[in-house]
Amino acid sequence: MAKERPISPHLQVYKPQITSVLSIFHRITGVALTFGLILLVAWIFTLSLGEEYFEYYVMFIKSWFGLLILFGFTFALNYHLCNGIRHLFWDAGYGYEIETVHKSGLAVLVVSFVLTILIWYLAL
Amino acid sequence: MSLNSKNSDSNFHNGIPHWKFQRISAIINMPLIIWFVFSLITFSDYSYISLTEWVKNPINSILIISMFASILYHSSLGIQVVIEDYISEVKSRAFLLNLSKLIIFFLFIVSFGSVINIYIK
Repeated sequence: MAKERPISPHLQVYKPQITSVLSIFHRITGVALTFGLILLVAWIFTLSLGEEYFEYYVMFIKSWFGLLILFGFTFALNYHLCNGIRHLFWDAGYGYEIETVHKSGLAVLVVSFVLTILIWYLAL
Repeated sequence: MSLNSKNSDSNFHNGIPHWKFQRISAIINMPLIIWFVFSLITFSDYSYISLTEWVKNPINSILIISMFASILYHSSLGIQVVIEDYISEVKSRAFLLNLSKLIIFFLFIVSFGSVINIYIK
């Protein structure tokens, strides 16, 4: 019985809008960042094992696949951080007007893009 | 079977501490991650020597361990909600909840041990 009911948060019966897309993207980036943490733990772990092991890590992260993951991780982190701040404002009771919600959502997207480019520019 | 016993595997009836700790860990995450990312992007070279020297600094060691603890804890709370939302089958839900917590705890032990190992090297 329970299996046939739609599963919360009802993605399959909900019309996609900027608000709902940004909301589910917060969750998607959260899950992605958790998997990305494995890579961050591997960084400190190989650093502790010794130089020859760390070289393997650097080799992987500098490959096109490693760089792609790292770039995605940077964007996911910036998005989750900015949208997280947006959530904290809502929790405090601010920013619920539809116009504000749309504006803050757009701001989160723009700021996380700019931060991602800025971080890579400074790091490279 | 009552709804109560069906959902007794999760914090279904006790969501307030979860909500609160998710926000507290989010706020603690922010300065730690900003410090970590800022420290790394302003590094002059990413050689093994300079990175280990950086980790060996006692303040950096403590901040790195704190960052791993806080972000892994925040992850654990987030993954828990995702599992509770999408996995309705009681046994697989309980299994995945335990598995996610176990893996995240393991990741913390590895990161904690690694920082200590670099520090005493």
